[in-house]
Formats: sequence, C-alpha cells, structure tokens
Amino acid sequence: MSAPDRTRPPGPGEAPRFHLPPLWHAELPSGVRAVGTASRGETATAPPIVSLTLAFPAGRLRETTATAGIAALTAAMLREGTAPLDGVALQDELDGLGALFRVPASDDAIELTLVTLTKHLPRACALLEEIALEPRFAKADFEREKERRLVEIDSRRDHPDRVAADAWAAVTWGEDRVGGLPAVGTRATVEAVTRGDVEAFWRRALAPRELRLSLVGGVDAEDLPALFPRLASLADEADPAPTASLAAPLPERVAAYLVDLPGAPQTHLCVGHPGVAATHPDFFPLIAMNYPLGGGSLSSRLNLNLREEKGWTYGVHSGFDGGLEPGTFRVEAAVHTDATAAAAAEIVRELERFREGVTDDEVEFTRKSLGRTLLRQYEPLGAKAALAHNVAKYGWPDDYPARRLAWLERMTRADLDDLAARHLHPDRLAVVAVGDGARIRPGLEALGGGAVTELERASAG
Amino acid sequence: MSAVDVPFEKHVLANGLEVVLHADRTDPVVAVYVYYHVGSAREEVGRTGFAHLFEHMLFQGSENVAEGDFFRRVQEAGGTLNGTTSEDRTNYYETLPSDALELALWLESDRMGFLLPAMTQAKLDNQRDVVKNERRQRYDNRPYGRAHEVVRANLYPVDHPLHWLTIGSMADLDAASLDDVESFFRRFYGPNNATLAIGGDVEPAAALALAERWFGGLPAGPAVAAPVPRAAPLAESRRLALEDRVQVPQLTLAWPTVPSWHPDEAALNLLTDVLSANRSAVLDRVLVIDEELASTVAIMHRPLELAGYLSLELRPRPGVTLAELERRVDDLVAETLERGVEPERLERLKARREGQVVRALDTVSARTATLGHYNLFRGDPGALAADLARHDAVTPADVARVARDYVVGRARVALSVVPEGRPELAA
Repeated sequence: MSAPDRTRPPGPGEAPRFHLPPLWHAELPSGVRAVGTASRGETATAPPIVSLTLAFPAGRLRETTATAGIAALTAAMLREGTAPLDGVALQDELDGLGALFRVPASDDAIELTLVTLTKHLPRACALLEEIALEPRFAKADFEREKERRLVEIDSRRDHPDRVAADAWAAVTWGEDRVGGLPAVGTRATVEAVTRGDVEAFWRRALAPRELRLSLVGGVDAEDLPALFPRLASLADEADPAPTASLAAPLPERVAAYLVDLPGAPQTHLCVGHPGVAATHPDFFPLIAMNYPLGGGSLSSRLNLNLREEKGWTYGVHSGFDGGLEPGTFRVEAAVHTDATAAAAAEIVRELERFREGVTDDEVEFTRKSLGRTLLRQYEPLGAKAALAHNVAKYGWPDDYPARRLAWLERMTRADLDDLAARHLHPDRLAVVAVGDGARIRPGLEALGGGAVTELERASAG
Repeated sequence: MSAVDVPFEKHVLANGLEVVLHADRTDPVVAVYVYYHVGSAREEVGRTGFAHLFEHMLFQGSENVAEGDFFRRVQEAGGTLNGTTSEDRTNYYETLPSDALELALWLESDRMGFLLPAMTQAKLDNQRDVVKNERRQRYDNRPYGRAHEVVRANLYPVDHPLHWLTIGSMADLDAASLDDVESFFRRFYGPNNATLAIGGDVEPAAALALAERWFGGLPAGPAVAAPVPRAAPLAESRRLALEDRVQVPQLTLAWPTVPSWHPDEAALNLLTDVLSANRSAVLDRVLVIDEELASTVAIMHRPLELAGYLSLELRPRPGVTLAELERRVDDLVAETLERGVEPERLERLKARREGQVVRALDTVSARTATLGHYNLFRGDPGALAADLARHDAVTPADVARVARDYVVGRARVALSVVPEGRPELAA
C-alpha cells in the first residue's frame, strides 16, 4: 500500500442521516404523564438496560428563604428507606438488582432515577413506586441527615469554587430571595427544619398532574399501568406549593467582589449576570452564540486566550444555564493568583470584543460543530433519558433536536451578533474573586472602578 | 452470549500496532481510542509528572496538524475528544459521527508518527503553566487535596514510581525540557507499545484497511518490556499529620496490597465492598448510621502494575476524635473477620459489581475503551468476562484470608489532615 498524503486531511464524508429515537407519550388514569423510548433494536450490542426517572416538582423553586435547603434534604430522605424497607434494606435490594439509584434535586425538581438491567424492570418499577409513595422519613435518619448537612454547610467554606458560587448567587439575587441562598441551605434554615416540614414538602409535591415519568431503553407505553399500578391510581389531593421566581435585575455596572482566602495559591473567578429560562425562545440560540465565546469548545476565544495563549488557567468556561425559571450567564475559571486581575479584565474584554461581532469562520465552526454533534449525541441511554425528560419537563416538542439542527443550518452572523447585543452585558457584570486578598485586592479595585466589596466567606451562615 | 461479551476482532500490524475492532451499526457513531503502555509509573526521580505533561503536548499539533487544529478539526466534525494519564497507561480518544472516522485516524497517526517536528519551547512552557494550574486547582487549592500525595509518598520509597502522583511535583514540572519530550516520545510512543481500538458504525474490514493505511507505515519503536511488579512492604506503621485549610479533620488509613491481576486482587476488591461499598456495608452502617461516629467513609483499592494499596478515608462527626474513630475501625474490621462474611451479602455485592460493569458498557465509546484497555493490559480485548469471573469465584473464606494477610494488624500509613493550627486533633 502506498503511503497516504498526510498533508491532505481526510475530511468528514457525507453526514449520516439524523435519526432521533422516537418517543411515546402516555398518561396514567391518575393524570401522571409519561414519556419513553422503545428498545434499541436488533442490531445493538449494548447490554439491555433501562433508565427510569420519576420527577417531583419539588425543587428549590418550591422553597422559601425560611426553608432553604429543604428540597435537597427531602431528596436525601427519599434515599433513607421506605415503610417496609429501612435505608440499609433498600440498599441491599438495589444491590441485588445491580441498580444505580440517584435522587438529585435541582431548582425545578427532585428526580428519582433508577438504572438497571431490563430483566429487572418489574421489580425496579415497584421499588421506584414504593420509594416515591411510602418514604420512611424515620426520626433517627432525619436527625442524622440534618446534622450531616450542617457539617456540609460548614465545609463549603473550604472549597473555593463553592464559596465563589455561593457569593455570586448572594450578590445576584440577594439573600432575601431563594436564588440567593445555597441549594444546601444555610445553618439557620437547616437547623429550623423539622421532620414534619420535610414530610409536608414531599406531600405537597405528590400532585399526579405534576409528576413526570420518563422511561427509556425498552419500556412500552401499553405496559405502564401494569408496571406502575400505584401511580396509576394516585389520588389527586395534593396542594402544590407556590413557585418562587428567579428573575433578577442586571447589575448597575461592573461590580467587583472579593472573598479573602489568605495564602490561596489560586483565585476562583466567577463573572456574569442574570440570563434566561430554558423555555425562552433564545435559549438554544444562546448556547450556539456562546459556543465560540467559551462554551464546551476547547477552541473558544476565552480558552484560547486564557489557557492556550496566556497559560493562566487549566481551563475557562462560559455558559448560559436556566430551567423553568431564568438562569444565568457566567464565566468561570481558577486562575493563578498573580494573574487574577489581568484574567478578570481579559474576560471582560473578551465579552466586549465578542459584542463587536463574530467572524464568518466562527459561524461556520459553530454550525458544523453543534450540528454534527447532534448527529451522534443521542446514542447513550443517558442522553435519551435527558431527551425524554426535557420533553416532559419543558413541554418541548419531541423533535426539538431536529428543530435545533434546522435552526443551526439557517443561522447567520447577524443572528449571533443580535443575540450577543441583547444577552451579553460586559458593562453590567458581577465579578466575584475568591483568593488571597492581600495579593489580588488592588487589581480588583481597578476593575471595579475603584471599589471592591469584601464578602464574608460564610455570608450565608 | 452474556451481557459483558462485547463482539470484537483483533489484528496486529507489521509494526506491532495492535488493532481491535468492534462493530455496532445501531447509531451513526464511531469511537477511536489509542492506548499507550506508559504512565507515571515509568517516570524517573526528578521528572515526575512528565507522562501527563507529555499527554498535554500531544494536543499541540504534529507535522501535518497545525497548532490548535487538533481540537478544532475534531470539534468541527461534531466530535468530542480527550486524553487521560494514569500510573500505568495514557489514552487518547475521539467519539464522532461515523463519516469522520478517517479524520480521527489521520490525527492520531500523525501524532504517533510525526510529533517531534511540531514541538517548540514556547508550547512546552505554555502547557507546563497549564499543568501547574491544573495541579493548583485539583490538589493544592482543594481541601484535603494533598492527602493522597502524602499517603503515597509514605507508602512507597523515594525511588519507587508510586512514591509520586501522576500530576508530579512543581519542581519536576519546571525541570522538564524539550529533550525530555523527544526521548520520551522515542522511547514509549512507538506503534508497538500501543493499542488502537475502533468501535461503532463501521465495517471491520474497512476499518482495518483505514488503520493499515494511516498507521501501517509508521516505524516500530524500541521494544518496551512490561513493567515488573515491585512490592514495597512497610516495615512498620507510619503516623503522620498534615495541616490544611479545612474545618473538619480527616483520617486516611492505607495498607500495601498487591499489583493488578495478582491472585488476591479480586478478593481484596470484594473486601473493600464488604467494608464500605455503600450504606449497607459494615463500616458505613455502624460508623455512620448506628453509632454516629463518622460523617463520611470512603474506601478505595488501587491495584496497579507495580504494586497496589487499599485506603480508607474517614471524617468524624462533630465531637468525635480521629483517635476514637481509628480504634473503632480496627475493632469493626476485626469483628467482621471473626464473624465471617455472610454468603448472601457477598453474592449481593457481586451482583452490584456486575450491574456496574454492565451499565458501564452502554455506549460505543465505553465498549471500545473497554476492549482497548483489556488488550493493552491482558493481550485479550475480551478479558472483561474473565475479570468478572474471577470476582464471581471469590468466597467468604477468601475475603477473610486477604483481610488477615493485608489489613488486620498489618503495618499501615495513618494520615491525619487537621485544621490549621490544630495539630492536637491528629490521631
């Protein structure tokens, strides 16, 4: 065989056809709604696995400032056993199924997720129902979990990235709003919460019309009532809690904040401002806009500048997040202490430059990268689960990835410039720096127009 | 066919490159993995951290791939990519839409064959800074972040390559030179020291032809012998304390065990599950739930090619001292051993382990990685089944025996991490 011509890269060929796993929708007699996918089909060599998620609308948005942390605490308590099985017995049961069981709590929801081999499906569904509908909420478990959280709250002060996130939230929303407090809560709110409060929080979330099931990897819609008889007949008697708003005003100007960690070898920087909800029509377009700026891309402007050119950081990332309520736009990086002010200034400058316009190359790069990523993105079971879950939660159409692909295909430079003009505000940013105050304070003062506000490390204490 | 039998073909090119192919045409996805049989355990004193720094250099372009183009071309093709370095191996991988397979093979073969012309002092200096920032972010500026490094430094003698972590020391990173890059590349990055695994939406014959086209012409490097295990028994226990910016103290107990694929490895893995797989395990159940002495318990068994170690990390509840915790751990492990492990518990832990393994085979990328991994270390891409089988064969008596042979009453490293200015809290 002759040697290949290495100076001519073999580019991608003809893009494969975009094929999304078809979703089914179903509603149980009680009003619980479900979304799912059938199995992968005959050709698959992946082992037969199913992923089951039951989402309660009991996230942080259903908290008040007085109960901050109760969503996360309730999620943790749902792992502590059921009426028939204490926490240890439940774990043994899950181990016997070779199952993964997680209960993350986000702003929007508490999600019970169980991943197991398809052969264990009936038992897994019954167990999921039991966990959701008959939580044990034992006194000893509650007290232990609560105390563990108090330790965790204290220990957050040791993690510069968490300190930065907490400080950023506090200055963005204010500590008199749910968004301004850490998801784990504060010492005061967690100390005050009772077992009865947790039980009531859970009970108010048990409204069948608000529960969402997503079942991917080989569950058929017609089997649902038999697999989930208790959810199918769940009485509609809950009184859902009101939902907090996460809308927040933009900062008036570039405001610098410092949390002093004497002697820290690095500074954790968090720079940004409020953003949009996942349901906002610009949500996906903003992901595209952010891609050349500092989104997942190693080739982004921020990363090429701060990491590849300057060597100030192991990595820098920018992104929009958001759920049912508006989220944020943030740039985050851990930078060398001596480069702190320069890095923060460079981040602000990159945002300003970005608003001067993207290049044709960046538009094409984004179109190709994100468009072709969609072609391979839905292969993992977890991605199919996220697809089903997003459709269930946000009411997005089943073919939203295809619509995103279509949007990318018509996207122009003017579209991205317009998005940047409307959604990036380099003159109205909060800049939070967590690091060695003695060395980084002067530079931050210059950045904040002569002033830097010093925050306590455990401001939420 | 069991759920862990991933279909594959294996071929060896004339230059020694081992090629493993896995076809699954369900989704339009391909994965490419290159595993090199070199990691930080091949480093020398004074050049720690080099294998990982070198991994960073492999993304800086090669003769026909301009600086910045490696990331850019993979991303533009809709792919994702990364590289990872451990003590025993370094891997590089891409997952892409299937029409971009050849692009990935061009990129990987160019850096395997034609890296050196693209290496410059400026690139080395830049990546050295990036890696030093990685070290600060992941170790120096993270609570308890230096504990693992101190434990390793005390488990192994100064000239044993497990004495240091893969991230290396700041001074050694500073000392790394372009000459080091060249000699490391020539020594370890030949096709005969690597496995290329390709999986997903591809005809095996076509994939093999492409592998031959892009890699077949690369010259073999010098032979690289497999590492020889080097046991490092502790003559006596060592007790250490480290002050850190933390609120809650932490105790780490670590014991030397066995290298990977030693006959006792599987029983030691199950011993760690028995002790602390999750809340149902004895240490978690008693220390966290029943007696409320600990807030967290974490266990890890790390069998590596040269040697292995088992470590247990505990944080006390408020009001409990590290010394009390340590005493209770010793009692509990001894009691467990005396009572014996219930066969049902062991079977459940095996089911748990199998569930983990099976769930991890969900994606083309993960299956391709698994085949590449087992080929590199066992010469058999399908050795996962044998790996599971040896765990299935472990009996309660095996678990008790390895607990006695390696843990109970054996010399160990005990490291206390305490809040700054509170040395009296050490165990």
